[in-house]
Amino acid sequence: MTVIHQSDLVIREDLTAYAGSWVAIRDGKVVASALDSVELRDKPEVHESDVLMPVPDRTEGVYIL
Amino acid sequence: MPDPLLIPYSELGFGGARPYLFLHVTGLDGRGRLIPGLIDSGADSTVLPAGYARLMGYSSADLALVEGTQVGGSVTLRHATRPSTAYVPELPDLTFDIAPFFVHGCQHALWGRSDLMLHFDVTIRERHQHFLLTPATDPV
Repeated sequence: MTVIHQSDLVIREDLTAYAGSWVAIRDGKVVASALDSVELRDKPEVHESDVLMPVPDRTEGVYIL
Repeated sequence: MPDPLLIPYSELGFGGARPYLFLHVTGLDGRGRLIPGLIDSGADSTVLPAGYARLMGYSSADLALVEGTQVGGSVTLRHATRPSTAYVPELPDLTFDIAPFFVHGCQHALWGRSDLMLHFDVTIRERHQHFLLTPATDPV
């Protein structure tokens, strides 16, 4: 059985400070943030290969999605 | 039968190890991007935060308004009428279509049953804090 850690995709930074925003992640670290996904994508420091994702505005508690 | 991938639960930087999976998704704009999402057998299909729609090249002409039900009640969804494609980064040859439902206020990507789970058998092993993805090779 192959164990896959997707280790190059691990997020190594605490994102709670970005709650409610979108962040661009590169090498596990935030390189940019914005309130809007397109605004974030269009920032010059954001690369096409960066992971863009929203950070939930509530990051604690039980998830019942 | 191909070997399953064993993927440990992980965190996304805001606490709580969960069955997150990064998928490589190519939208209508032809651009590929990695999106982290939760494996969610309770979701009929892929659900994405609305902000991904424009990132993936979807316009209102490509989205159909539909009503859905979530744990908190009814919700309006925008369903992609044209599919994107996705693959697990470690298995780039196994591409599959996804037709996401985009939801305003949704803050997590959810990999649901009718796309990811049509192509992979998913085994959640909560006690061991990992899940298995087995490429589905048998006909339905």
